[in-house]
Amino acid sequence: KVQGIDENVTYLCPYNRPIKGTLTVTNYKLYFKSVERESPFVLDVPLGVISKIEKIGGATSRGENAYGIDLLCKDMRNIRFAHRQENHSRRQVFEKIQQFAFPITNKQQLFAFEFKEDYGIDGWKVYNPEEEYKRQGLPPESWRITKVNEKYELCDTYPSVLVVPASVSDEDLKQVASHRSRNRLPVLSWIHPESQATITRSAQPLVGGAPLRRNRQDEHYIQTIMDANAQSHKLYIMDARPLVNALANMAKGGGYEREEWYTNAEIAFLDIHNIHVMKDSLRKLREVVFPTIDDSKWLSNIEATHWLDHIKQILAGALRVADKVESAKTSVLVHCSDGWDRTAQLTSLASLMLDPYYRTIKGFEVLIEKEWLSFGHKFAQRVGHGEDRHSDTDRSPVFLQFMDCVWQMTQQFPNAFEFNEHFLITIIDNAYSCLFGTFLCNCDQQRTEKGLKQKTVSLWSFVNCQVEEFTNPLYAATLQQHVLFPVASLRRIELWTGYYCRWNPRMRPQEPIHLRNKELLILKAQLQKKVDELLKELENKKAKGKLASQNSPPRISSPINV
Amino acid sequence: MASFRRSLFSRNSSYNVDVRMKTFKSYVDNPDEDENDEEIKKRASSFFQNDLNPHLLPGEKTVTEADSVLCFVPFTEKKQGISGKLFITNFKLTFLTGDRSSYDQQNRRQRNKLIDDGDIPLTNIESIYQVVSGGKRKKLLPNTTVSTLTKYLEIHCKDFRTHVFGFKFTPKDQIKKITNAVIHYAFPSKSWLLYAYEYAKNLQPTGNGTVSNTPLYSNADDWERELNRCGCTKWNVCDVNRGYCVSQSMPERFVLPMNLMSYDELMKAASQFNENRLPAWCYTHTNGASLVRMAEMYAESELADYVGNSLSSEMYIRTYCNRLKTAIQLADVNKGYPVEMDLTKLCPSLKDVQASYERLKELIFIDSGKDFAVQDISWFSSLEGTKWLTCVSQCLKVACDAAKHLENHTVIIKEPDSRHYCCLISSLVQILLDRHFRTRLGFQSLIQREWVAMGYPFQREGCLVQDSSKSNTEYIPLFLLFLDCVWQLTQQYPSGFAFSETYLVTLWDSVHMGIFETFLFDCCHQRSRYHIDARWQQRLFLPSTWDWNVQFSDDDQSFFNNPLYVMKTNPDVNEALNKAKYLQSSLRSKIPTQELYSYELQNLEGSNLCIDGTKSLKGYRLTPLTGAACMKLWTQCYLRWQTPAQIIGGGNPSQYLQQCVMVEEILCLLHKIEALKKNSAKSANSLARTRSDLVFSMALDTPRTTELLANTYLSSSFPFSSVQRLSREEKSVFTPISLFLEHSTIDYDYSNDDD
Repeated sequence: KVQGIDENVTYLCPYNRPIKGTLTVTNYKLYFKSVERESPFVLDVPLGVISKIEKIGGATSRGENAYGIDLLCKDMRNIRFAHRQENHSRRQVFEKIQQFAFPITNKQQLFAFEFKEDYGIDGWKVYNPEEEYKRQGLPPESWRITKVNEKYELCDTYPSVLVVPASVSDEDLKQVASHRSRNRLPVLSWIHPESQATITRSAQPLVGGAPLRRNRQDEHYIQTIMDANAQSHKLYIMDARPLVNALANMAKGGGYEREEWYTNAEIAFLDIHNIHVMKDSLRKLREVVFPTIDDSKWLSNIEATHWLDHIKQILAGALRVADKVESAKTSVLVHCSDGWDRTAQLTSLASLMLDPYYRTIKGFEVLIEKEWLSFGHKFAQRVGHGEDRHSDTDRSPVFLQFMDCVWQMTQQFPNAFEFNEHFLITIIDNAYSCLFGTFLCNCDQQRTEKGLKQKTVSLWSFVNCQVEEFTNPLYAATLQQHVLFPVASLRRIELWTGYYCRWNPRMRPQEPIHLRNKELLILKAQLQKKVDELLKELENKKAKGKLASQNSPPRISSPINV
Repeated sequence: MASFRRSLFSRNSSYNVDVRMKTFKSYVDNPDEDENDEEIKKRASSFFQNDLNPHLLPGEKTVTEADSVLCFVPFTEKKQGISGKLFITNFKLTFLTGDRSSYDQQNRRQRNKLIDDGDIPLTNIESIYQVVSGGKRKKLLPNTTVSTLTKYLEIHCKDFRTHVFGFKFTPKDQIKKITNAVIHYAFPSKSWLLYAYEYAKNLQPTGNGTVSNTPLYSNADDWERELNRCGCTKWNVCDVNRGYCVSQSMPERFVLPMNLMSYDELMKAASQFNENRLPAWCYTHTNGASLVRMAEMYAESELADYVGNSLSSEMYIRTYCNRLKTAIQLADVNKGYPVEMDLTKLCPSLKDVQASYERLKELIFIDSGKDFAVQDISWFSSLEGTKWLTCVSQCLKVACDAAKHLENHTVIIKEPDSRHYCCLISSLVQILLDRHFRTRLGFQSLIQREWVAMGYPFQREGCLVQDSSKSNTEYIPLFLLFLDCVWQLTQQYPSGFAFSETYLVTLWDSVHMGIFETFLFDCCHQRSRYHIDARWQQRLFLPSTWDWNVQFSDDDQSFFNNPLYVMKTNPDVNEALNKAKYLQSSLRSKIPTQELYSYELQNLEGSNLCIDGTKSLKGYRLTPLTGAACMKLWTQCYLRWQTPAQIIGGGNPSQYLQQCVMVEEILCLLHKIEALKKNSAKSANSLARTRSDLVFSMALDTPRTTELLANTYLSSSFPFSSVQRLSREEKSVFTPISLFLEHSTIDYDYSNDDD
């Protein structure tokens, strides 16, 4: 629905001359089209991506293009329009954007609730937890599915379906939950099909205080998780935080498992920093990559943001988890403070390394639904859907970081993933766009309350009706059916220019290799089709020939009757 | 973390003799087959036998040897290694171990016919470091002798590999002897001390004609042919330099504007240029404009010294020069005034490149996991600090500018001696402008013409001979810089080049082989003198690098080819591609980006970007991005020996091999269609499939290839250093190359079943 039009706007493109054209604001996006008739310049931005809107220049501003609005976007760019002071059009545009970019602040509904597109596929059906756990092959003697959280009473940020050690009763689970931050008790995330070593996830134990608190049920529970894996008499607890942070949390009631209480458990700290550090790092990165790039200091500028250090740290952490599970056949419990940011990164990346299923398009969707959405990564808060609170300290690019790590893996293993870069970017963009219901809200409980499945469209509907768009032509399903151990060294980690620098035309590849690869795939399919056709034709001919020879009597007898 | 990486260490005969012998053995053979005791005993006895002898090439002699030398596995902090014998011959440094099981014949990296995995040609040695007990580390300089006892010897090679040998158990007299022999033989002081001389003398002159079809530009025909290829009519081959009477550093024949002057006048003109190097033709563009390389003219004062003080004679000679320039101008069909580009000002100075290379080496030559981790922290700023990528970007930029000028004008590139950047820039310009030079043959002929024939001083700049009378003993890596530039282009234009990055890396390695006439000499004159043995009045013969069969089998050469290029240039595939209209339209409509975030910029100011990426391929000129931010580190070349950085089962090679499979499948399908069509017309199935030059076309019909593929494991360093599987537990991580074929639809029937 068109909400406002300004026909006399100049788009100040950082890579080009200012462009004059028409700016249209709808309740979903803003749309700018240049006046040129031939190959007009078009800018099409979902309002959900806007983080902050500012007026630049006042009525008294002099100079060309000094008066207008500036949009700070969540996808690494700024968009700037210049208005003419005389016709007072700026105010209208500003107000409309303000109104529709931040519907929550304005007590309105997100656009996803109005968007009704039928893609012919229901993406909400992609993830069914029970099916997924069945796929993993839960051994019934050691693990069971529990519905104790069906009404989100045990833990309000967890999904309704949980997998726990078979021997622990629902009653005991409550005891364990009480010893974990926000009741996020350890539950199963992934199980190795052969060794039955597991990855479990949780929040930090509530150890802190004076004296330190101890919970026998929790200790016993951890022991049970270890016992569920007959291959090893040890359990690794991977605390994603740096040790200092874990200690600092102790003062606030949190903390970490003390090895003297949790016998046979070994704790390790993975040194991944908190959401505030990450947010700051991305802010710095943005300054380096947008709008222009300083060629002479490109690499050191990137280094100074520490963004890739963090990526390396996360990958290295996940690698450690995956290695323990695969090579040492030992179960690993992963947690951070609340277990919904760094923990989600680690468990999902480790799963991706261990399980080839998650490297397919469908599998990756399941992974996001499972590890991120159902286990309560707070998308609404971290992204700030529809809220005009740009500097909200709860915002952080945790999910983007995870996607960056996935991209790094796709770079290191070009034929191990069914999906391509475009798939990853589409997911990130739609985590901001508010077009689909998938990434709205903070946890399953909220999603059920809001009836997202009924009222909105899933991103996976959009994706799955055109899979070929998102397919990696080099994917060799049969080849990479094993564990992937990416190299967590900056020598092998690079900046994802296809995402961070995508607005800069000078950073685009001259001859994108994925196009060439795609040509190969399409050509192959075409030729295969042709071969099949020819074979069929040949068969038909033969069949016909046979038929003809059967039906027609030998020529000698009656040549005329044929 | 560190311990984990270590567990994934790759091969390079990497295993611990004492502990791992059995494990190691178990993968060479069938891992599930238990060895019987007798087998083990036999192996153990062979392990201790001492009659080891290096494999010697013609004319190669063992100089000295040392027993019980430890060869350390890289990045194990000198904790793992094999014990064996170290030999020095006049050609190479070679390490042999008595443990026969380490000569695994299958799981080999790219197999070189001339050298084995443990062999280091002396010409490949870049520097030698000695560590004495106490840990003091010292660089061993040429023409010195060492009296201290070596604990470890670190050999840094020009192919960026580090070898570390330990002498803990070696007899003392042998240590000193071998240390000094290394210095002496790795850094010969006279060019006739190079092994190539002995090699040539002893080489059986079997069919010593050129086996490769790369022109060598030693005769007029090669030049004529190139002129014709360019459609160039205003220039011709001249032999004014016959017998090298004008310039010693130029070839006997080169190309000058037509009907220029008499030889006498040319010789006078030549005297004005550095080293008497007359301006010479490089290339003529389709529009008639040419690329010319030129040495600097002597400044007036110098010239005065040169020709005596007579002002009139100076004026006289200047006139020739002006006539020369006019002739160059007239040789341009457009008759425009030529653009002069002073490469000294435009390109990074040789000193800068040298310094940059030194810093790059510091990043590459490491041998400890600790250093690796420490370096990793500041990897990006260190890399930037080397300024290597800046040098690459600068050269590419100059070449792009020159190529752009050539669209309208004749371009003269000049530098003091026209033997350094002139080689680099003129080659790059021609690659940018002419697709012929993006084929293997074209590329080789380009190097042969612009570098080898025109006198790039490979011997001097490669420090092959350490002449104590010359002060400059530093390595100038201009050729590496060139290859890096070309590599950047192959990355930006993945289907634009017929050769792969493996080809480029292998070419770099071949430069240091020390037996190819291509890269051993400073100029044609030196080369031709070397070929005549003064004592015996006998013509010597050295192979050319371009004769790849000297080094590699067909299997290994197949890794030189780019599958995407095969697809683009194969006429059948191209036809099919054009036919597939659906393909065209679907690519165009969907690729630019989704409607959700489409953002197309057009008419960019002052840039020649091509948005859809395919446009520039239709035209001839490549317009690469040259910003330093777009330059990448050539990891296959520089990091291939850094085991902790190896991606096991991944990296560029996995993309490469996947493309090879797909192209092979496409060729197969095309053939099937052809056969089916014939089949329906006639009845005989009578089409033999022609082989492509890609790796998987090598068919599984030869057992050697089958074995090679099944036993070569994929890593990012493939095919230079393949992965060693250390234990059975990790086997899941390793991908044998043959797995690529397991589910492919390639049909290996090449036979003609029409009988």
